[in-house]
Amino acid sequence: MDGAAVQIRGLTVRFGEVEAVAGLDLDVPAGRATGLLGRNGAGKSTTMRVLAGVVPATTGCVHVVGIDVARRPVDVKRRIGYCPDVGGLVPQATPWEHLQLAATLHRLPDGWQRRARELLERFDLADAAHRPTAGFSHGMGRRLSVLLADLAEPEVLLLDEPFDGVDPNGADATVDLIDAAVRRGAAVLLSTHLRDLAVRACDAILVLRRGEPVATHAALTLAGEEGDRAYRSLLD
Amino acid sequence: MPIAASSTEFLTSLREEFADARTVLAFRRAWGGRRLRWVGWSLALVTVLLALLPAYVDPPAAHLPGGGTRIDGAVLPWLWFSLVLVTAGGAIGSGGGRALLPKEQAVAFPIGPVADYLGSVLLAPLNVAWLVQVWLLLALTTHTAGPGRIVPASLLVLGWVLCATVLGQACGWLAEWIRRGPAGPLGQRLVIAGVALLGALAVAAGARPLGAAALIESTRSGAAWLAGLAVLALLTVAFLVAGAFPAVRALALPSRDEARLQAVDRAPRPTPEPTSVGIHRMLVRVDRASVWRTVAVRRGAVLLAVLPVAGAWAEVSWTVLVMVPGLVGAGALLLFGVNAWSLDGRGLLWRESLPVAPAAVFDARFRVVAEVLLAVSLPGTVVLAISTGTGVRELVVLAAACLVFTAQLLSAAARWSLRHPYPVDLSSARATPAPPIVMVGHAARLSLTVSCTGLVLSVLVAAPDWLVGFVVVLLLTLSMGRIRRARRRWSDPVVRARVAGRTAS
Repeated sequence: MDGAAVQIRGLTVRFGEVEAVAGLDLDVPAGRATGLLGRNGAGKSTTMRVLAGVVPATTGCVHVVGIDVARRPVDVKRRIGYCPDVGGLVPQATPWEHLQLAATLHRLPDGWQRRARELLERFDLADAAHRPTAGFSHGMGRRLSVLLADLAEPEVLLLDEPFDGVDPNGADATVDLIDAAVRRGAAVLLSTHLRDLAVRACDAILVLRRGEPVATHAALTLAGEEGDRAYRSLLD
Repeated sequence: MPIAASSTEFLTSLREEFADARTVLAFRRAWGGRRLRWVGWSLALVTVLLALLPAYVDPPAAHLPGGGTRIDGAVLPWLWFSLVLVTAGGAIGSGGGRALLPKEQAVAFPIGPVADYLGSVLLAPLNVAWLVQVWLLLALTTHTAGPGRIVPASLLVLGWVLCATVLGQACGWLAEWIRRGPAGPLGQRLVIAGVALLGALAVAAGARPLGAAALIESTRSGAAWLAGLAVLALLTVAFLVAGAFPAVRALALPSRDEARLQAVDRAPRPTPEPTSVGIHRMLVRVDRASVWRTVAVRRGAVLLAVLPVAGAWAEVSWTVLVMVPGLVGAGALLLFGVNAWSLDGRGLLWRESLPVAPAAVFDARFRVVAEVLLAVSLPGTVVLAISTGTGVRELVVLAAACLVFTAQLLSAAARWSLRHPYPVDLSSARATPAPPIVMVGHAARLSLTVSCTGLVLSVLVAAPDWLVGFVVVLLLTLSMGRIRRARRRWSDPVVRARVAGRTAS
């Protein structure tokens, strides 16, 4: 494992003729936030789904906190928190019911409710805690997905497009949540198209192109206009 | 539809909307060309067989005092009339009628309300009760008419099916207009209750719907038959045009149900202990919330539960009674069960990342589907059984029928939900759990299954006890085996990934 919370070796994922991820190697250390950047279809979300145990790898080895995702998926799911790229919410369930379901399945001890309420307050969702999520705006849904992923204070936090459609306050709350997760020693993997926010939230950034990693940078090297030029040159 | 100032503008606008409806239909048909052909040929074959074969069967022995057979004297007029009720019921339950394009897709296209209305008329057959009713009508009519008049009798049935469907759909849109207007759901319920009461009083006073026997008799004379067909054609066009008015007005108003259900606060309930029992309870709780808070399912389920009760006023034969739990259950399955994982919508991706055994998720989901099937099919079955004065032996077979149908429908739900997952938003009353073409296939298969099983069960009432037990156990074992196989398939991560990916796409 070499101390990496997430270790991916030779990961390929195929959907029929389409190769979504082609031979990806990746280490995400504990206590660090790593950004995944790349164009649409670069394989970011598929990689996240494999780590979350939602999509099985076609070939390759994927270990999360030393556990093989393919062999012991439920054990891996106990250690991770996942915010999917699309929706991620059951339309007719309320935020509180989502939190109850997550708490029950993660077998959280009594007292999780206090943390849940704090998270709802922080993400400005306390007033909507008992309304079905079908009536939520896109940004509200994203914020709820992020806080659900972090409820159990997982060892690995997987956030796929958490800033998509979120207002600046929500984006701040998400960056704060990532900082807190890193401070408690969690490995955070963040996939986004918003380079500025990735630079702000992450320590390192991995750029994917057509399912393959093309470069890894310290986040600050991709900051500003210079960073934008460097990033764009990696996309084509 | 803009109500144009001149008749020329009106006709032009109508032509354009017809063209829009055709375009949308072609767009949706493109999703299932091969499936459509298969479904179309199967339906045509069953329909032709049902038109031909019964005509060559001997007339029933039981003659009524009036001289006609039991079929043309008592059952047939009700059967003809009930097609209007079934269509109207389906339309009321689905917020006026099914939508050709889901709401979130339709916003991207300039589709007028008349095109939307015409689409709902075309999709009226997405209703198991409608299909079975049409087949029964065809079979019993040609049976009564005899082998020499199959073609004229079948054409007469076709004319009536079109006319009754368009009328039922118009009634559905009228009810939806009332619901969306100032009178609201209460006003709609009062109007429906008033109409039902008037109907009951009329029946009590001896009124009978349609002289079906006279219509069939008209096939003996070419002129009378042609006149009958012409009247039906004129009525169809008149009802089609009349139905557009409430439809256009209803579609201009927002649906109250969606907004109300999405805005209401749900009182939180205690969190279950994180034991296996507690986990099952929590999973079931979320699944029940997904079902009963979904507008399309709630309204459809209530109507399906209530509609068969209307049959208590009519004479219901044993063959029909034994099919009721199957027909109503199949209707309930078409509300969401044929694509049961779609209840989670895009939340399925998140749910799949939670630490729980796949089998536990499967058990909770299909327990809830079974609950819905029973909750919807039992009330009508019980009322009809009481009203027809069913004997003890019939009651035992009826109870067995409820079990067999529930198991069969559950097995269909489990298998089809894995094989054909679709991304759908069920928050609209007009939503369907799969594209219309696929729904036609599902409805046809369910109709066949229910009809065949119903016929087998209906003859069992006269069979020895051991045979009844053997057949029921055999049917239950077959269904349970299929459910177990579907449960095993759900445990395969590749299958779950495909279902989650497609449902969340």
